[in-house]
Amino acid sequence: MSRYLVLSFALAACTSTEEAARVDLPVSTAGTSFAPAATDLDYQVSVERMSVAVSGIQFTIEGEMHTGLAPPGTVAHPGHSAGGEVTGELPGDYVFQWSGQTRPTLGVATMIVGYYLGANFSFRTAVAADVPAGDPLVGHAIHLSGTVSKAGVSKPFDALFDVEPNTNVIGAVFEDEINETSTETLGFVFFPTDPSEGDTPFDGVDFFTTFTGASIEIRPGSDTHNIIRRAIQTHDHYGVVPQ
Amino acid sequence: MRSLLFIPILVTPALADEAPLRTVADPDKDLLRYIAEAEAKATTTPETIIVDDGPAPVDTPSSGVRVVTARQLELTPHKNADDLLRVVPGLYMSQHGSEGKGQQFFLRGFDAVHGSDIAIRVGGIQINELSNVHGQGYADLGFVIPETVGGIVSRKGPFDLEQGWFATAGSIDLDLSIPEHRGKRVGYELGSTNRHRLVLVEAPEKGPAAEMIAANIMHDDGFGVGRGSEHGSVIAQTELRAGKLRFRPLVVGYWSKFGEPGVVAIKDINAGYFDRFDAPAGELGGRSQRLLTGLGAQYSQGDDDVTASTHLGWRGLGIEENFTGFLDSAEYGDARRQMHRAVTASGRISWRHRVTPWLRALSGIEVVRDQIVQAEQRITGAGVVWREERALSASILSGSAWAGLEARKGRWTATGGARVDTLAVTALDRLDPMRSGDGMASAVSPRLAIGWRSERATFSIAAGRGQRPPEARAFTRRASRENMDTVVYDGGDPEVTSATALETGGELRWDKISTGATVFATWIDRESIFDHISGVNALLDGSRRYGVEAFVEASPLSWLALRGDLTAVDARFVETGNPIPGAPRLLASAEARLDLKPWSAGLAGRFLGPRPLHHGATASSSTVLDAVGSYTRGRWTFALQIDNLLASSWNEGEYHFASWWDTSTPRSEIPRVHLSPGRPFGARIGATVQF
Repeated sequence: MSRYLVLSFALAACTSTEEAARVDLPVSTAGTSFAPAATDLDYQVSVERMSVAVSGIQFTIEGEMHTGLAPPGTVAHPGHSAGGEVTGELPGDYVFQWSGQTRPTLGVATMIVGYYLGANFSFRTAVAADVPAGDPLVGHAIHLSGTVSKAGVSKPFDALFDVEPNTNVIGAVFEDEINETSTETLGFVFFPTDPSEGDTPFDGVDFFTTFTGASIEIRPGSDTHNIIRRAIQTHDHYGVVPQ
Repeated sequence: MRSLLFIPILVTPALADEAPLRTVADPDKDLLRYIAEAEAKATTTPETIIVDDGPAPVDTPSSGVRVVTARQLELTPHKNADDLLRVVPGLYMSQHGSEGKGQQFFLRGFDAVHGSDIAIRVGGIQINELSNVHGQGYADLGFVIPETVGGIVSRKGPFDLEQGWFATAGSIDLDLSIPEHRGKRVGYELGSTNRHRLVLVEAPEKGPAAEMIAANIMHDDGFGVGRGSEHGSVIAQTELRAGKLRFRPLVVGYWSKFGEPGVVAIKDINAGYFDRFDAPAGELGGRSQRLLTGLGAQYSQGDDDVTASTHLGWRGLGIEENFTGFLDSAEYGDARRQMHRAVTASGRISWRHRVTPWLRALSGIEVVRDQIVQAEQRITGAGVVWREERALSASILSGSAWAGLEARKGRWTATGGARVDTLAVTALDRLDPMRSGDGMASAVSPRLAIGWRSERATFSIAAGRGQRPPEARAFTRRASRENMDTVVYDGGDPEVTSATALETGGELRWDKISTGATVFATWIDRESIFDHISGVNALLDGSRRYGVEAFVEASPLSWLALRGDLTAVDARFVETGNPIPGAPRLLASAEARLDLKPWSAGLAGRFLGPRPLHHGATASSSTVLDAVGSYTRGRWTFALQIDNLLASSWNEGEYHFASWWDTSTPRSEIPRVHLSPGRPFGARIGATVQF
């Protein structure tokens, strides 16, 4: 009997460890144009070009955190600090560029299969190797250009932002079921208008009062820079769209 | 006065009609007596057993109960007290450090980590620690000398009124007594991992089973790298009588040192960077200490039975470990040091009053006061502190009260009632006093169990609720998030985690065989945890566990006892349907005990089915067979124990997370399976002389 017992156990013990299934998916920037953002001071801000120097792109699943019972006034969101678990990534340094044209693939992300609900990345300071010679992004983290309009008056604007080292976007909007047969491209998008709350990074800026010239130039150190930077580095204005 | 109890032939722990199925409500009082009865019933000839007078144990009908006697434990392969718990059906333990560190427990679909969901008592004293720095409910059994364990009663589910904090999955009571081999004993054990263990026992031959002084000291290099351990412990206990009063004073001293090797990523093994028995964390390790005094008392008069106990203990734990390499800090590494000191005092009183011949009123209160000081630091591999992460002092006051009724009428038994458990915490954050805070948390647990029995069969159905308290650090205020968006989740209030459980089962008994099965279910609406990474109280979604347990016991020959049991559980989060990581889906064990004096032997085999891990990974299955054999001649007993008789290459623990040890490769935060290897084939020989 003991012999059969041992044999039964030996036969039963035939399964080995299985790593989680994973798939490689391309990552790029998405969207060919931005809808104008209507600010709280009735300006229309049309972003025509945007460049962001980033690193450490990650994709997160929600995990088992209970989101429906978050304390009043708070909203749970995925990410390292609130239950999101990193199960996909594209390591390295990249530049998100939105300029009205489809951008080439940034790289190939490794994704564990699962239901994704967020993306993370870090801002960084761009270096010369990131962009073509003469690109104003070098030495900065974000570059925006476009037009600001109000009451029939339009002015071009150009803005450069510096971001403190290790500033992260945690929980950019990203919802996708990824399985072993997935082939979609993960396209990063910028939302001039927060799709969930309707606010914009330009709220609180009285452009035509602050900048009385023919054009608007926003540079690090100014109050306008700090106001916009505070909002533009939050997760509300970024997302990933499967394409 | 002594009562006489006639015990017929039966197979342990199948119980005769005259002795109803019992779980032990107050182990400090009843466990010894209950185990003595069960042990007597394991004998193969009818006999009359003299049982000390004392109150009748509370009879909570539950099919998830197993009683294991001292003799059965002696014939169970083991090298420490942790191993003795493997007799608990459906319990899986995993050691991801080395001997001396608390085990990780899995029971009934719970990952109870280091004890958060299993209430463990030794000699009637709760061992789970409120707010240990290394994990809520941390239960360290390293101080227990195996030779002093007189029996184990395991109760799965929270159905007994006297099961308190942490009994969400169940509870285990270890009795400290030496019912056999009374007298003086000296034993020495030599193991293939350069293990040396010396044990001294003095148990006066004419004294009660609880009376003893025992000491042991051990050194073991451990298998592989970084798994060495040393410990020494002393347990002294006696029993005093003054009229109807019975006292049991207890003193314990314990010290240990153990390695913390870390766990190895399978991808690093495949790449040739590590061997499966390597210690990625190098020379990191831990130390554990305990001083404990206790006093139990019993008093019976007429219709009233009163038991009381008190204890005062000091506890120290220091752990240095690194599971993730350089993932978090490429410059300094991810090693951390945790330090915990606690002074704990407790008092407990239980009163049982017979209202009518068939009805008893049950009530009791318990108060525990903990004063803890703990710290957590990030350190380099050389032990240099580079960041303070936690410095907390806390006062914890836990109060519990319960009341209910026990009714016995004919073949029926029912117990029911409710208990209230409350926790008040004042937490001082020494790193940021502005974050200091206080608060309370409490929970009510209704419980009901109904049983029916005949000579050949037993049936029971039980429902109850168990509670896991929040840890002290959860009462600190939330971290400042002034630089973050205001909609970021910044944590909720600390909450008690409640598990509602239901079970029904039965048992059939014949002369030489018994079999039984239990179906159980447990639901948790929402689980409150303190997320140490983000520093917030987070709520997990609800979870549920459905399972079945079955066993067969047989005693085909007078000197042979066999047992097999199987537990299957489907444990999942309700919202996502994902399985609960780590919780075994299938666990089976088989035991064989041969007691043919002067020879005796025991075989214990475990089959662990594939386990779900985080994110869809799956842990391997394993089969392990351990053996013990002994021969007694005169005063001498010679023993041989063999670990992993089949020489299986098995993983005791598997985990799915990210690490980065080989810094010549690109850093990745994507989780991978890591393993903690199981014991390889090994042997220990021992000799014991009895005076």
